Amino acid sequence: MRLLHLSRVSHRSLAAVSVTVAIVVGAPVAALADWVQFQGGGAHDGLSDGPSAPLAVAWTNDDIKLEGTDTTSGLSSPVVSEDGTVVVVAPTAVLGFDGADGSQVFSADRDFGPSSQPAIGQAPDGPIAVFTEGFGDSGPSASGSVTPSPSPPGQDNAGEGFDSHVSAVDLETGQPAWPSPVQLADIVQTPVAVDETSAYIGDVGGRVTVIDLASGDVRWTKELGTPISGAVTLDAGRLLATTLGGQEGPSEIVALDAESGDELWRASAEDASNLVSAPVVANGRMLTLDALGGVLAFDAEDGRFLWRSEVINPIAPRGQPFLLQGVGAPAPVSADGQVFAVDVTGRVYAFEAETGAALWDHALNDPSQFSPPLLTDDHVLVPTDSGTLYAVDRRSGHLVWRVDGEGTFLRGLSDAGDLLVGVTGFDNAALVTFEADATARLIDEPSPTTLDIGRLIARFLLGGALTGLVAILLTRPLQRRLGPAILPGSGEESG
Amino acid sequence: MSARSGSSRSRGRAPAPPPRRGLLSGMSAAPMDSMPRIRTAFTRGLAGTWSSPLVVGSLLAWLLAEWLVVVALGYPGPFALLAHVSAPTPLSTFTDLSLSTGILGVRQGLLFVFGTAAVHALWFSVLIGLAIETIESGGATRWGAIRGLRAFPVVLALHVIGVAVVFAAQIVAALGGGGLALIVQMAALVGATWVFAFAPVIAVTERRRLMDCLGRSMRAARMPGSGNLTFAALYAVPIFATFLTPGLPGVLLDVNPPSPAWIYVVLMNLLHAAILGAFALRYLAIAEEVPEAPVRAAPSRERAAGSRRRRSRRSPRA
Repeated sequence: MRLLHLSRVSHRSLAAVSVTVAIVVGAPVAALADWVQFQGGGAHDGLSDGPSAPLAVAWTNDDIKLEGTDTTSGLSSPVVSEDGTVVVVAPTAVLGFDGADGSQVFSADRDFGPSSQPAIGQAPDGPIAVFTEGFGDSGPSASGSVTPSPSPPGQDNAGEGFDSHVSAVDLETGQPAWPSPVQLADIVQTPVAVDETSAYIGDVGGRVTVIDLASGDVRWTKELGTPISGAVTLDAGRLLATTLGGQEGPSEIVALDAESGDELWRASAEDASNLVSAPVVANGRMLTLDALGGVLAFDAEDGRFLWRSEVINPIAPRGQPFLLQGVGAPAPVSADGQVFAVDVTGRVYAFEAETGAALWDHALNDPSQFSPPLLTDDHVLVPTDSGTLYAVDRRSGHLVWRVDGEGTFLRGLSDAGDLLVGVTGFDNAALVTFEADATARLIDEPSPTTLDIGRLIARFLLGGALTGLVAILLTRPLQRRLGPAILPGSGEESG
Repeated sequence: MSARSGSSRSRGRAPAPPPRRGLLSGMSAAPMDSMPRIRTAFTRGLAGTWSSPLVVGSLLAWLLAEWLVVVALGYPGPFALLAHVSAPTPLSTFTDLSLSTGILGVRQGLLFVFGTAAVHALWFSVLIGLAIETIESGGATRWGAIRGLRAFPVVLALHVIGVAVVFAAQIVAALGGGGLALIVQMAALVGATWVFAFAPVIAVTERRRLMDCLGRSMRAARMPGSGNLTFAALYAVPIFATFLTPGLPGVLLDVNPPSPAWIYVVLMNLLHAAILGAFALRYLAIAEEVPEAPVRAAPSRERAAGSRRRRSRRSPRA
């Protein structure tokens, strides 16, 4: 394990040195594929050094046949290994694709279950994909109630016989990497998280399970009381999990010691609603979203509440801009003193990271219900339900690019080096990749929520005033003929 | 013209009280001769309000001004919400609620809803005054608008009642769930439109007090053979359908609404103005036939004594 760790570090160090040298000598360098889990790394910051707008579709693979009785959940968001292999979870399989051309390189069976995003970790024999499987005992409609009698920490057979497991496959062979799947007590609808040694899983029963990547043994489990809202986040030896909250407990972020599972602290905000996203750590801040439109920041070190800004969106369903959508996980992103969030209607918001003050918003008017955005050096990339990928300038908030993803419900945008890879469709699942389009020129469109008084008046005159004029002209002859409706003083109708 | 002055208020021997009627018992009665038919009333209302440059111009000016104000307050759209600004409550209550929560959020917006309602009540009062004047004289003047302000307290009260109706309907609908929710909400809208539609007209033309206006409006609405419930349903159900119809112009977040959105919003408001004219005509045509509120008889000595005896029997002994 120690050797493995060192070899990974040296590999990364070599890569970093190569990049630095290349930048110094001014030679073009291909970006590294390294998007091994939800929003890239353990902090889930969603930062990509891959291509940015203008973008064009590089290749698509719509020749993906989903098997099983219920394929409506489609593919999970993809993860990408260092060699560029793209891994997705299908309803009854784990699939690997060549990042260069989209051809399938392996397929491994999986128990039917929610298409939660897998993660790629390092085992002694090479990279493995860790994934969850099983729909519990009540099938796809399982509500995922809180486990009534949680097993003591350290026991790995909690809920034995219950159809929910964690498994792993070797990326090179597609064979199981562990002797047997790890039994879980409840189903999992959130992405798997990994670090150098372990995989971290939060289930709908509120239990965090930590599994050794090399052996597949459970290192520890911890009961948090209410469902886990998003992927478990890893930061500075701590494990951070968002609990959805309910009648049995408040919605909060719980910090656990990554080694022992001991609880360190709990963070919550008085005026926050149910927290619905993973805690995202960026620049010492821990960011999350709540259902009533709150974007919240806490100190990542001690969980101290910093600020909460509330977005208001009149067209958000049930007045909730951020929703927990099963395996479709929302999350904020942050870099360079700015925090960005995208609500379910496809409205992009920017805040000052220090104070939470609103900077700008851009209404794409294209719902984005199933995926967090991705952040490049210059742009916020937003995959949407129509299948269009939008790029919004981080500074101005203007739309600078849009490209059709050749499918609907584009989601799970991941950095695959020189490409961005996502999935589309549900029953009709497909993989789609985007590459930089050097020949295209960026556009510059302000948000439709920015008042343009000239355009407003012109449209009013052309639409409203003209309609009024036509109404008058059409009805005046009629009114002249009819005359007053009531004969004065009589109360009788005149005509 | 005033129905109040023409009504008899005999203080002599009270006539025998009319037999009690059920809520919908008037539906099976023969049509009233004096009540204009729905088609006639609508045509009159449409011709009267649409042909008036003052009505149409005021409506356009109000829509533009209100839009600029709400945008300045931070409302990002959708613009189509203004389609029902000129509707009677509770149809316009959805606009009150959505605008206030769209500006201040769900938590604070629900408190601010009565502020929005007051502003809309002001506009509605002006519009009903103009609509009544077009029915009475064939045209509208600014005096009609000023006269309409008499209805402001009644219209504001109706906006408050509208909020209560909408929330009550949603609670009942939530308990019933599913398809029942739609029926309950629609029934609440139709019912409230039916019984309160005449109240602003009464306030303007007869200068009655709030409770008197509401009570008289209910009695006028329930007059046998008037067809008022049918009219309310024909009006409110299609309007309710527009709340649920996707793809209408102006339903996106956009503070510079496109021309089709303006056309839609102006046409809907003109439709509401025409309906107000129709309501005005239908009430004015039957105003003198609307029964006054039954006067509560003072308790007779015998009944009062009997009541005292019953109370004393029930009271526990010390």
